[in-house]
Amino acid sequence: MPRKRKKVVNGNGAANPSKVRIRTYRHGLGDCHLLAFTKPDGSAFHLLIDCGVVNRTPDPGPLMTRVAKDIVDQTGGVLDVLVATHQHTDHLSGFKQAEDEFKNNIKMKRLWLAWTEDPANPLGKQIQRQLVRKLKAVRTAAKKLAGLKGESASGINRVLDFFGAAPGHASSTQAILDALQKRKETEISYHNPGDTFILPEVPNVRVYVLGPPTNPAQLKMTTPSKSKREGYEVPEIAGDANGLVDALQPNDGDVDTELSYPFEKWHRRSANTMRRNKFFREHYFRKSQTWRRADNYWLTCAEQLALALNDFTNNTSLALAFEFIDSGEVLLFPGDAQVGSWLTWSELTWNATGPNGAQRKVQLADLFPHIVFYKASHHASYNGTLTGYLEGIGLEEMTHPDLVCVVPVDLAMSKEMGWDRTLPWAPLLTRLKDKTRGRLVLTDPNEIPPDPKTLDALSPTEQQRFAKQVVVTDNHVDYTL
Amino acid sequence: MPPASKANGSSANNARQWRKLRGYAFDPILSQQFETAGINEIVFRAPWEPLSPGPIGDYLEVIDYDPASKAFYEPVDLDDPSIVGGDGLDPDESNPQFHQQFVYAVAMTTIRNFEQALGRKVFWTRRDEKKAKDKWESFVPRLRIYPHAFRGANAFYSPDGKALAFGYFPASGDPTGVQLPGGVVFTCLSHDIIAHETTHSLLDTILPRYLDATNPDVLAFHEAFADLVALFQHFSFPEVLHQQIAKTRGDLESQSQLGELAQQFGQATGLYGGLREAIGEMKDGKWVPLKPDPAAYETTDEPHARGALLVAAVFDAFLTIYRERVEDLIRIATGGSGVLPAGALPADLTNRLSREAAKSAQHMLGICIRALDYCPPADITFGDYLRALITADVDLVPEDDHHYRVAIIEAFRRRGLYPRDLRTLSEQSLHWPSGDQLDAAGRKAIAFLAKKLRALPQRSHHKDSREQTFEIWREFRRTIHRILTPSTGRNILGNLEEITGLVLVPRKKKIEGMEISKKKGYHFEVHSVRPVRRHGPGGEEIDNVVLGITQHRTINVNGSEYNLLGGCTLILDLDTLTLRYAIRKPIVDKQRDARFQRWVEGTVAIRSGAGAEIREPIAHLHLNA
Repeated sequence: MPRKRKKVVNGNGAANPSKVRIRTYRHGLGDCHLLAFTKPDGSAFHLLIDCGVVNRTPDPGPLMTRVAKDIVDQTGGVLDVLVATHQHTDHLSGFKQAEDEFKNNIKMKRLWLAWTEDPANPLGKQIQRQLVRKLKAVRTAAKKLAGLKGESASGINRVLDFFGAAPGHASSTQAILDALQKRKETEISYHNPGDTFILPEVPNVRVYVLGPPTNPAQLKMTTPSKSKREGYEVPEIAGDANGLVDALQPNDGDVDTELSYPFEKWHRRSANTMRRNKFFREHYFRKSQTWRRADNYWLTCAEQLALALNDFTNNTSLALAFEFIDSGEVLLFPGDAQVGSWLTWSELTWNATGPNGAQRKVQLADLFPHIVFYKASHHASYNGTLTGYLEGIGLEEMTHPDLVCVVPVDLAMSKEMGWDRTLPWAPLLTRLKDKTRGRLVLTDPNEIPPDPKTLDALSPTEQQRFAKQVVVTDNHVDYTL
Repeated sequence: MPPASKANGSSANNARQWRKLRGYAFDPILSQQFETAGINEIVFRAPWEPLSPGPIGDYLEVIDYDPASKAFYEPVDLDDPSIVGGDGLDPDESNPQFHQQFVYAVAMTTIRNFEQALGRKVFWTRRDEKKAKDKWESFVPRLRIYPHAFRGANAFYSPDGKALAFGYFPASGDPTGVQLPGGVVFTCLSHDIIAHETTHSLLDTILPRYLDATNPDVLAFHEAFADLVALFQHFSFPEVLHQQIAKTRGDLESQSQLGELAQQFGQATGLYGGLREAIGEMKDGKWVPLKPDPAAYETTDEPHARGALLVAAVFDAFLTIYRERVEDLIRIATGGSGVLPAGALPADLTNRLSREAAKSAQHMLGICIRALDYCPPADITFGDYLRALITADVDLVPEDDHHYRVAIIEAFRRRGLYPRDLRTLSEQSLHWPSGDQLDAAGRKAIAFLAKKLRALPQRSHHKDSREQTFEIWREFRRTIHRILTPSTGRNILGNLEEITGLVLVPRKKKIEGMEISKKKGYHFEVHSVRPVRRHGPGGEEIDNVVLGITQHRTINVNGSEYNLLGGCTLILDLDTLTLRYAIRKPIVDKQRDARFQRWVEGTVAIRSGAGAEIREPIAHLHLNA
């Protein structure tokens, strides 16, 4: 069928014969992507994925307001869909920091969330409850550590940064999500892996829901190592830390913490009694023993817990793929999903109903070779992208000749947070560069976007195409398909 | 200071050689899964020593404080006559005093295995603190053990606190939580975890620079070595293997039963991470060996996973050795057919097979530990360890009658774990080159050193206290350092620098990143002097001394400074006053620099040269976000 020749006009008034334009903001370490799909009548359907920046960013208010203002300009103040992938500040903070813009100037027609946020889902509810209690425990540990000589809570706090303020506080990620869900005009839907549907008003685009996985044990898998310790695995968020959480949050509602003591009461002696005991006085309390006391070991374990919660939350990312039905081309937006989530996608089968009612069974292997745009998961971290090839389906299976990858990163910020080695992970960037044949764009403020003419691996036609397709300004990266 | 021995009843105790202590044969969590959980008790034999409550002995002090529970647990008195008479307390998960006994029993067993294999006493790493003028290092007599240090599924060795800390993870009272079957799980009741952590601390005293991750193998080696000791030590108890061997009935050829058992241990404890993928897997209820992947060494970075490759290689060699040792037994038992009749194995045969397996395990354990003296002082690779294994074994057992070395080389070769700079992988080429390339001056220098050291083994006689011995060895380290310092030794060094790869004498062109003082030349550290005494083929005593010398140089990779380590292990023969081996990691080596740089750029596991994993208390990687 010949393509329509008619030139269409999108929201900002420019001539646009394209199917979609993806704008990724270059505002710092965080995600904010505005997708403008072209509807059959030529107007644009606006879908925003996340809007946030890490906590440490200096002066985030004006920064995010600038981003929000651009969203208003681009959309005319109407978001057809807002996707909030997961509860981390670097994906959500903007809705609070630029609250005025989002509240007063932007209408949100639909809000898409992962099933884990669904208050009607019992497992989702349980997960949220656990997260809240465990995060509280981590905060307690951080507070205790910060007050101790020779200890530091900086490791824990670096991780806590991603969760924003304490639960209950208006700028916590939980509160931001709650506020979004309370907007009257917004129709909320929660999505499960295996779901697929046609993008409302855009019949040529099919949406596939990849993650988060619905099996809690799979949600917990976060490291790429095959040989991960699996001895005591229980299907729960960091279940082995329950005792630690009990110790940190002893008076927490209906929880009976007596069972988390390892021995019966009559075995336990208090410090007050034991200070007078000859054995412990000599071998533990005496000043010469200070250097090898074990008083704080248990608190430092909270950092492990914090990391586990952080990984877990990344894996609750709502991961989406958008497929253009006519061309088969696919856009992949995995949020911050880590390999644990990726590994489950290849077990899914989507039942896609065609326009004439014909059923089509789609699997991950059908989608990956058609990916033309990949939003690098988790800022291209060491465990944010599954390699594929030998294990599951991942980067190696992204074989489309037009593949372009955009990575939301801020190297200076990563360095400040002490994560420059892993976020982004250099070997992954190298491989992404190979796979895209140079069409890899980092949002880092100091990044010089690749000059199409120097990309030797591309043919002259491809170079021209890439030059037209990707436009980088100080504030954003525009990709047009 | 050793604890004061008791005035009463000590004479009877002095006559004892061993302290018998009952403990678990299998992890409590594993014994719940076994078909016949009834037989889960073995008797550990710790060398006899007078013990104070704790227990506190000459090597270990168990202090039972559980800060998360704000609880102290009374120390057990193992010298109490009623406890001595009963071979220790009854195994009992709900009794903290039994836990104290168990960690002591397993840790002492591990220490004894090291001392037996090395032929000398072991010390813990020294503590650096300013005691008096010019006296920085203090002797730490005992490793401290906290059996219930924290709540978590982990255990760790703290190099700074000279302590082992074991975690436990209780069932939660949180109604939203999932209750663990069996309630609280204690890592301090796992033989394998205790042996693993004790080995971390023992390895740290012998090769202290192995906590510095200077290449992807170093931390992986720490993990793998600790796994190997734990596994072979566990297998050296015939009782542990008995049931498994009896279970396999006619299927003895496949040696599958031991591989399966090792994996079960691994699943219960989280140790031996890669054994399942690396040596075999369960298929349709049957254990089948897997083909090793020679490319895995190039593609696996994470220390635990990488270490698993080494564990798998050594374990594979062990299985080959065991099979060879029992071939004749099976022929005898089957009238030459090799096929056993259906039904249970005869009890005698099961006993003999278990004993052979346990003996093979004990041999492998000794081979693995002895090789430590033949390792470079820093920056080890798996290939280096293979060479150390072979050289150490040739020195001890010149004739390889049981084909141990062939089995080891073959198992390493199949996994791609071999030195990259050798043309062939024969026993001869893997054997470290001998030190006879020294020129006349170099020989003289070595003879001078060796003569000084002659007094060492005699003076550190086993009757001395460990602290006295420590002080003697320390004095020798100072002596060696003085002799090698260019201001005193410039004229005697000969081509020693070239042979050892050390940089001592100031050059015309300054070497970037190395500390130097005008008088004393480039800085170096004699971090250990270890006497090794073994018996030659004719039964004569052979005295060697191992010197570990290290140097460091900072290099800049992408704007960050890293410490690169180099140095040399010198093995001197005190009878002939010659250099037997110089196992070197030259501090200035362009190839090594390039490898280091490539690794730093691609790795996630290190932070500026310090062994992040083990330095920080939790024996887990701190991977971010």
